[in-house]
Amino acid sequence: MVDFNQEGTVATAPSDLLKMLILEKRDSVIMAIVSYNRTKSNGVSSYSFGVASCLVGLWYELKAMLLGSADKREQVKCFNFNDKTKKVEDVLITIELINKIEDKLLKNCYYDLVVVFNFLNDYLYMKGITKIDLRKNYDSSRASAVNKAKGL
Amino acid sequence: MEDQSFYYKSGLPFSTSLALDLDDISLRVNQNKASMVIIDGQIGTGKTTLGVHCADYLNGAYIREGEGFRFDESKSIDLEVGVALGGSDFTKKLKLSFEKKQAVLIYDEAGDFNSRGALSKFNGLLNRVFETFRAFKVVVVMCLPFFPSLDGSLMVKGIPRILIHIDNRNLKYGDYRVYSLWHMFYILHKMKKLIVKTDSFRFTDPCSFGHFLDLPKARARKLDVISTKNKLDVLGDVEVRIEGFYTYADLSKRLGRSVSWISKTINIMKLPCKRIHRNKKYFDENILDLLSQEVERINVKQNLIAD
Repeated sequence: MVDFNQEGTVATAPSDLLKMLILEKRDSVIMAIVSYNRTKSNGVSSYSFGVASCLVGLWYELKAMLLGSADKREQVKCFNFNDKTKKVEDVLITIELINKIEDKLLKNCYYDLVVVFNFLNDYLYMKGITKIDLRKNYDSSRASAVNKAKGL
Repeated sequence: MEDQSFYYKSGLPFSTSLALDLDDISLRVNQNKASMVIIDGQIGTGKTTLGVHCADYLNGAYIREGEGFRFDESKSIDLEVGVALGGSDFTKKLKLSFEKKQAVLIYDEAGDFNSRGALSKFNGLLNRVFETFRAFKVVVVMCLPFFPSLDGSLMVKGIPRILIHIDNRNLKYGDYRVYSLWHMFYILHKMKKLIVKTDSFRFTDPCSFGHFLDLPKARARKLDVISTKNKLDVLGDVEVRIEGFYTYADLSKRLGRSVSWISKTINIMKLPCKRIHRNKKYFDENILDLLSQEVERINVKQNLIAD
């Protein structure tokens, strides 16, 4: 957990703290999925409540952020989780989507939970929270673009 | 019909990709940032020719028409003003280019501004010029045989923006590769470990490749006249040096006396010079002996007075 009594934490920007909290929640979801699969592989029947509860935690961490930027809600009226042709950015920030995610969380079906988790993962990547491949995209055929991208 | 062989279908004498890079350079200059284009290649590969093409483009001589370009001769650079041969000529013509509102200056035969003379007065002064020339809003196109011999401090300051390396030339066209400043640092680093230094260009992918054509004959002839005149001057300089002649400055260094003292003494003693080249007097070794004797005589006289 993030230690708020640490000197370093006090000096950290709120947005960075939120990122840390989100990453912690995401990590807990992954650990719950691992635990679920491990139990299953041993032949023991298992419920996905652990995964669901962790995912709900992550979801609540993100929900405020999504609602905050919900002015794009009119962009897409209907969203299909399995439609890969649509960009995440176009469809994610809608009240409709929030409702859909919550519906899936309530159903507590493992496969639905994994779909939601994958989807939230994409969103986090898009927002740059889990983006670690920081390679810049630039036109390498133009010397000036290369200089600019390399900070020269 | 003759003109066609000097321009590609686009209307430019070089590949269009280079035009994009030159556009970026123009933009930088308008933003009051120092910009320099380095053209390097072995002797006789057409560095000055490509330099003139780039200078014409930067000066606005190629006007965009639809998808191609049209050459407007009235906006092409005046070779007398726009081509500086050597460092001392460069400083003179930089001011002249600004006064004549010419956006480009070609610094040809830039080999004199090399890293070996990094601490020399000449390099120091030129470095100072490069730090301040952005005020003139002039793009400098520097032509030299091997860019790593350039004074390294220039690159650290980020003044050269692109390197155009000419790797081959035949009777019809020349081949070049364009590198960014970032690539230049890598090439320099790679070069340290290689025995054949020019191989370092193969280890880095250039931003773009291209070809360029020769200058129209009338212009090429004019450029030849300017270039040959300078080469003859250089040859003359080398000749007098090889023959072992001394200038006033050389004699001053050898004898530990001021240049004015040397000049005055030579006049008093009526010693003849052996040659006059580019308004400079050159003397042979005999004069060194005569002046040494004179210095000794003065020293003895001063000692006697002191006693």
